[in-house]
Order: sequence, then structure tokens, then C-alpha cells
Amino acid sequence: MEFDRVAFSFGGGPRAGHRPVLGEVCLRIARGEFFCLLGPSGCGKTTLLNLLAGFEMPSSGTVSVAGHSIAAPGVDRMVVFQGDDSLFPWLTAIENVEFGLRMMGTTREERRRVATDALRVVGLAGQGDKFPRQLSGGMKQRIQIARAIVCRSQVLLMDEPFAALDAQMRSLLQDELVQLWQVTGATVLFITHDIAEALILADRIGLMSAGPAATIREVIDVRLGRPRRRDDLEFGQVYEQLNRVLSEEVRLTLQRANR
Amino acid sequence: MKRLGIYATSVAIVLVGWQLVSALFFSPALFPGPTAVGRRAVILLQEGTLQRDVLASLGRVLAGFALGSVVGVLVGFVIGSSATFRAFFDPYVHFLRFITPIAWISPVMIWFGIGETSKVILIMYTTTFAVMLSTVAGVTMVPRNRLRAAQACGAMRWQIFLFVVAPTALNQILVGMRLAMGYSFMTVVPAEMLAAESGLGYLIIHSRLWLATDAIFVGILTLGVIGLAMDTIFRWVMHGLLGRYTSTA
Repeated sequence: MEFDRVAFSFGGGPRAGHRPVLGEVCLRIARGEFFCLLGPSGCGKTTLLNLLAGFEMPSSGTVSVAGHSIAAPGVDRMVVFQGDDSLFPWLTAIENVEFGLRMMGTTREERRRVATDALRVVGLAGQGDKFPRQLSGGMKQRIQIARAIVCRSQVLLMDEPFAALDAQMRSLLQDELVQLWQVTGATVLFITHDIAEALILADRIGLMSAGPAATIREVIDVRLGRPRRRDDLEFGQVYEQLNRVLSEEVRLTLQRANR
Repeated sequence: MKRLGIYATSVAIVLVGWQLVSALFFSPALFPGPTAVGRRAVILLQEGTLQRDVLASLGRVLAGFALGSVVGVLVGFVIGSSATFRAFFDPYVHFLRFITPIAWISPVMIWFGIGETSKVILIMYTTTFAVMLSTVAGVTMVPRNRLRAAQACGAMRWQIFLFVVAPTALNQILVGMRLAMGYSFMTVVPAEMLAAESGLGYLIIHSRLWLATDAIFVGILTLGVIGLAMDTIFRWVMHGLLGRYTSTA
């Protein structure tokens, strides 16, 4: 996945009145890599993901996946959103998971079989007949993940999927996500503002600068072995290093907002 | 069961209170009590006129309501689907909101005569309006991430409409239809008072000529009773039959 000098402003162009969200972003994510985007709130992390998903088009530059520039959303790039409003509340868990297959015209039996498997993979075996409102926040995020993996897409775009969960559920899901990623070999772009989360998950972390006209300030290789432990000495050191940079960007954001 | 008990007690208290007030403070000819009204209802039923009036009003309401709902949903989907359409129709929406269907009785009677058509059209007008507004609200309330999730799942435009927008909007549409049912009842009565030979509105206005206050009350109370019955049926369809669409997260 590649961003080549990608700029973005709402309203289409760099005209007066349109504050640029992204400056010139250049980024290359390797096949099979787990990449975390880390940055202060409102800096444009989600915009980067929306460009990759095809929900937004860049004002200039190109976004491409496997050499093809992106023109529209597609099943080759599945998205997991932060909140639960992306689920279909009138469908049961398994019907939600089947949605993509149904759009493709897969037969009912095949759909059911694949979705049952996917539910088992995300730890929701036997919960398929429940409606989303009957499930906890963590379970609803698992439905989203299952809905994404049934389409066998090789790219998974995750927009702070665990941000609204309590700490225990979050760390459980983080570990499960790493396992899932190792099994499927998918390329993951994962957005977060939680340093520890990025450190548990990522091969590399892209630190975004404060907006407007945000760019990727630096890309950090996370040289920690897997499985990762939150109580590692090295983990703490990298955490502190990232924390210093991120705090500086948050301070900048506040200063610009106050001006 | 406990709720039923409370309902029954509430109804009993009101009936007894009504009987007392009418017996103690008014002449029965001006303000008849429930027993007098009940007696008159039985007479009207025996004559067959009450059934005839109920069926006439109900038929007009149901015809106008059904037609208006279909048109309202269709127009609502079209207007709701585009910001340009919404802006284009917005001024008329707020303009027409203040024109009661009663005001339309005169032109509608001139155009369509005093037959069934004019009454059905008036009820259709009220219903279309309420259902259209709620459909537009429902369509525009679809969460953006839900649309995006469907797009990422490979859904095409018609699939997004059929499998995401319409089911999301359904709850709002039903809420609008339920309101519209009430408006329909409020429209049918004045229409029947001004131009009809049957119906509950006719019963009420016609009885006034004979100072038959008990018959007037029969008409008024019957309106409430059939309205309540229709609403109960509607709620049952909404939450029983279509419950998966109307249970909000």
C-alpha cells in the first residue's frame, strides 16, 4: 500500500477557506505488515484510512494498493470502524457477518458455513443468532472483524476499533488480533492514539504530526519480539520515547487551537 | 395483569365521575351521562346507522392512509436521497406545514365533488405529508459508517438502498405512519361534517340539528375507540411483526 505525495482538503482543492487536513504524505506499507498510525486526536489519521478505503479521494497525489490506484471502496480492503453504528442492527450477528457474501451473491448454505467459521475464529461460536444490541461492546467489535475476514480481503483497515472498550477487553482483543493477523497474513493498517496499543500490535509505527496539513513525522521500527509483553523492560523504554514525541505534538495541537 | 387492573380502575373512575357530574350539575339534555350515551349507542346499533357510519369513516381513513403512505414513502425516498432535492423541496415543506387539510376542503370539493374521492384525497394529503417527512428523516439518519461498511462489503448502489438505507429508515417511516393515522382521523371528521351523507363526522354534525347530545357523544367516543383500536393494531405490527427493525440499539 502506498501514499505518494498525498494531500487532502475538504471541499476538494487547496482553495481559500478549505483548511488542508493532510500535507504531503508519503508512506509505503509492505505486504503482510502490521502498521499502526499514531497521532493526536483530529490530526487526520482517519482521513488517511478513508483514502485507502476509497471513501475519500485525495486532493492531489495518489493512493494505491498493490500497484493499483484507488478509485472506490472494494472488498479487497475491509474496514473495521470504532463505533457499533456500522453494524446492521436488524440483522443477527451471523447475518451481519454474511453481509459481504450476500452482496456477492454467494449461496445461502455457503454463506452460513463461512460465517459460522468466522464467528468461531473471533470467539463468538454459538452467539450467531443474537442481535448486536444483545452483545457487549467487545463482542460487537468481534462481529465487525468477522464481517471483514469472511471476504478474504488481504488488507484490513482498522479505525481505533478498540478505543471504546474497557482495558481488559481491549488487551484481550489486541492479542487475538495479532494471532489472527499471523494466521491470515493480511496487511493491517491500524489507527490508534494509544501508544501501548501501537507497541503491542505494530511492526512499524507511523507518528503523525499535529494538523492542519498533517504529515507523517517519523516512522518507527518496533524491534520487539512476539508475543509481546506489556511488562517488558524494552517495552517501557520505547513507550517513553514515543510518549515524548506524541506529547509534543499534542502540545502543538493545543497551541494552534488557542491561537 | 397489574397494568390491566390499573386500566380498568382508571376507566371505572372516569365513567363514575362523568355520570356524577352530568347528573348533579347539568341537564341531561345538554350533557348526558355514560348511561344515556350507552343507551343511544345501542339504539343506533340496532338501527344499523352506527355500523354504517363507522365503516364509512374507517373506509375513507384506510383508503387515504394507504394511498398516502405509499406516495409518502416513495416521495420521501426520492427527496431524501439527494441534498439538492431536499434543498429544492424544503421551502414548500415548511410552507405547507401550516396549511391544515381543512383549508383544502373547499378547493378539493370544487375539483372532485362531494363524493368519496374528495375525502380520500384530503386524508391522503395529510398522510403523504407526515409519512414523507419521516421517510426523509429516516433516510438522512443512516449512520455514515454503516453506509461505508456496506460499500466496503462490495454493495452496489441499489443494494445499499435495499439492504441498508430502507431497513434503517423503516423505524422512522413507521413512526410517521402512526402519526399520520391520527391525522387521518382528525381530517375525516371535518370533511364529513362539511360534505357527506355518512360517517362519524356526519353523525356528530347531523345530531346537532336535533340537539341529540347523546348521539353526538356516541360519535365522539366511537372516534376514540376505533382510533385506539387502529393504533393498537399498528403498534402490534410495528413491534411484533417488524420488531427486528424497530428495536433501537
